[in-house]
Amino acid sequence: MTVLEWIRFLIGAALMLGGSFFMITAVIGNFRFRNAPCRMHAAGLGDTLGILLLFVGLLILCGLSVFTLKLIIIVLLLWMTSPVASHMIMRMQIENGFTPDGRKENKKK
Amino acid sequence: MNLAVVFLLTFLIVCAASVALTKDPLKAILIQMGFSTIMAAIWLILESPDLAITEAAVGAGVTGILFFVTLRRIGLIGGKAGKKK
Amino acid sequence: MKLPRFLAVFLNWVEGEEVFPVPEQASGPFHSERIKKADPKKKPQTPGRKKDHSKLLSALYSALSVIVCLTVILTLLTTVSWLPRFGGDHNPVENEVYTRYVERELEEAGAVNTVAGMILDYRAFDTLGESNVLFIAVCSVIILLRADRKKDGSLNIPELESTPEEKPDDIIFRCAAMILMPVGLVFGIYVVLNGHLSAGGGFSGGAIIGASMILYVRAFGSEKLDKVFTFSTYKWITFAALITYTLLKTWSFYTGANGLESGIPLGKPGAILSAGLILPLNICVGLVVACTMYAFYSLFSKGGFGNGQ
Repeated sequence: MTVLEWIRFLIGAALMLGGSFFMITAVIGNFRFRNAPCRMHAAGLGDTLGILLLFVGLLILCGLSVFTLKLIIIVLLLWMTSPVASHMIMRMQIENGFTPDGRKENKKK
Repeated sequence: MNLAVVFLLTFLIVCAASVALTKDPLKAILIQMGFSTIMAAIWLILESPDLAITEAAVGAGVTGILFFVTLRRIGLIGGKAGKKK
Repeated sequence: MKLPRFLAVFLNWVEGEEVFPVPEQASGPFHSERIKKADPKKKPQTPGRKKDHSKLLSALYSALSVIVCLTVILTLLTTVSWLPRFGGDHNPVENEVYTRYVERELEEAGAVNTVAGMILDYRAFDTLGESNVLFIAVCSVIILLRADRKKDGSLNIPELESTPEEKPDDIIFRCAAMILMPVGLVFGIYVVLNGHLSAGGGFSGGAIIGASMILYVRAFGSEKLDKVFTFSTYKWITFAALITYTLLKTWSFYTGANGLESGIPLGKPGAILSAGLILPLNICVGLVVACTMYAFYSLFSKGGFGNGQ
């Protein structure tokens, strides 16, 4: 019994550490990268993969119940919204005359 | 008071000062939305989830949308989207 | 003293400077355009004729503002210093009102959520005032921002440089909105209807419903909603909600309030149909808030809502 609980704790802790790592990289990338697509990529990574790892770790640590089911719903909601938000940011970039690698296009009309 | 509340309150003060000091309206709105999110977390820790839901929905959501719409109307952000029509 | 690097970067970001020295073509999305726009505006600031007066006035103004600010800060700080310490042992946390609310709320108001019992039963007129504030705010925004109509019935919006783009032609955004909008609406209705049992209530639920309506309008355009949600619909919904609120609460106070017999059954605590007047009052507040959020958005973005007058 105790061995199983230890294994569960270790798996959960590892997943949560991985999630925290991705969240920290997201924050650092948000401040370090130089143009909007790169920053968007970093933020999107933290919002999807980091949140997934964190919440799966929590789910494993706490066991399945109504509250952890809500965590799954939150993950699904974030997976619905965050990529769409990234897509809209990229769309605005291109509409405002930027190339996908973040440079301003110099169209002469 | 535990450590988390102190941490969040410090963030709150930093956010409030930043909103006052920022010259760019867009950044001010973004920081204000962050302020509302932190405030919602603090309400949750202080055991008033009613206020937390309201703060997150109104402060971080609807107020931000209204400010963005207003800034776009007066032409401070998003310059070219309207010209294409 | 040299600041730590992250602090300097953050301060630069707050000040609106370029965080890192980057070439012009690689700057952020809004930065380079804003610089171009801001330049011609600085020229008209030539010094006027009344230079001496304005200088004196501005000096007086800044001195007065400093004095007023310092007074307010000092007053508040003095007040705070006389308050008892947060979480101290001898604080009067157990005063009569608090004890009454916690102990007798369940039998007097009948709501499991004590906060809902407080704001919608003991202090219901306070909440009525808040709903009225929202209504008055929308009235002022309508007076200020409502666009006229041309002869063919379309809205007469002055062609600004960047009118918010209604209905972006984007399949991904529309699919996401198609899935998220009903979920948001249902969640908002759940929060409103469940206000006396769990956290939530009219204000938060109404804000969620209003945000879902804004999402729908952003994704699919406002033609279909305009047919239903006109000025008169808004007027009647808000009017009916506020009048219902006032009448119900007047009846409750007229018969004595304060736990006296008012003829309204309280029901079993925990059931959906319980807590006397709190459920209908929550619905009224939710209607007012949801309509207000959507009205704010459409007034700010396109200067009006609805087809008919």
